[in-house]
Amino acid sequence: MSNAAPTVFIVDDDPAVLKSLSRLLRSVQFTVVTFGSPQEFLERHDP
Amino acid sequence: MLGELSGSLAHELNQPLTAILSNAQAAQRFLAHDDVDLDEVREILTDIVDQDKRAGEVIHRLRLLLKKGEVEQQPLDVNNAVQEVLKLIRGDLANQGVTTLTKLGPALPTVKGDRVQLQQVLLNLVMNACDAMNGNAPADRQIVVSTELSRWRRRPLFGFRPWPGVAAGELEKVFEPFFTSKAHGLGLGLSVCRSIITAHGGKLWAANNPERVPPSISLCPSNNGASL
Repeated sequence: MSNAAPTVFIVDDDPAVLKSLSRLLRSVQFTVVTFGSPQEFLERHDP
Repeated sequence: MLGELSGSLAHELNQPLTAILSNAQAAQRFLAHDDVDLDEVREILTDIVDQDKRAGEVIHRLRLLLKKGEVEQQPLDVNNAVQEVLKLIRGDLANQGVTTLTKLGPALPTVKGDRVQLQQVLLNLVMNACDAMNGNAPADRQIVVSTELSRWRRRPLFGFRPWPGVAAGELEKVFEPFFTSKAHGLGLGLSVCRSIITAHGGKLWAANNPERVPPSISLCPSNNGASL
């Protein structure tokens, strides 16, 4: 875990905001997973 | 009015502005990498352009909303104005599989008003009706547009019977700024429409549509000709 790039989870209902924030974080080497709603995050995210 | 607007307006503008800023900063960083992915940068620029237009659209609609009272008065034929709008959007309607049924009243009085603004109202109502019928079966996508003499002697009316699914209690709410039932709607369309019609001395109203009949839009000029 300490060597791997940290993963950032983004939840936002605006697709344009979601996409742009995801790009910004990827540009500084984070791994990014995006979700359109809290429900989607809870369903898809497996801690 | 501004008080009502400012909170939601901040949000509506913040979304595209956030997207523009994050995209631009991401592009700056991507370009600083050794192996620049130009496709990604191109996509980013496209999105920046789109989001800038989105922000511009909010401002544009807001200006319309605030421009109350400044109506350019030109005599105009309501039937002719309706036909022009329908001609303009014929292609859009065909693409969405929507048909229109027009019932134009005979010998209507000429009204005074801003042709472009009134046509924007009609356009907006038609497009709203189209969006609402998106999920309907192809045979069930018709909009009725009619003109007739106003039942109110002195006041022109501009009415529409919206899509099924708007509860009676919600009817007035559809005219509030930023009220929307659409995932990506701005919720400014109908409030702008009402401001325009009010500035013309008219009344824009919505009626309930419990029988799920096709959405209908009616324009009812008044006889005194002083307004709208």
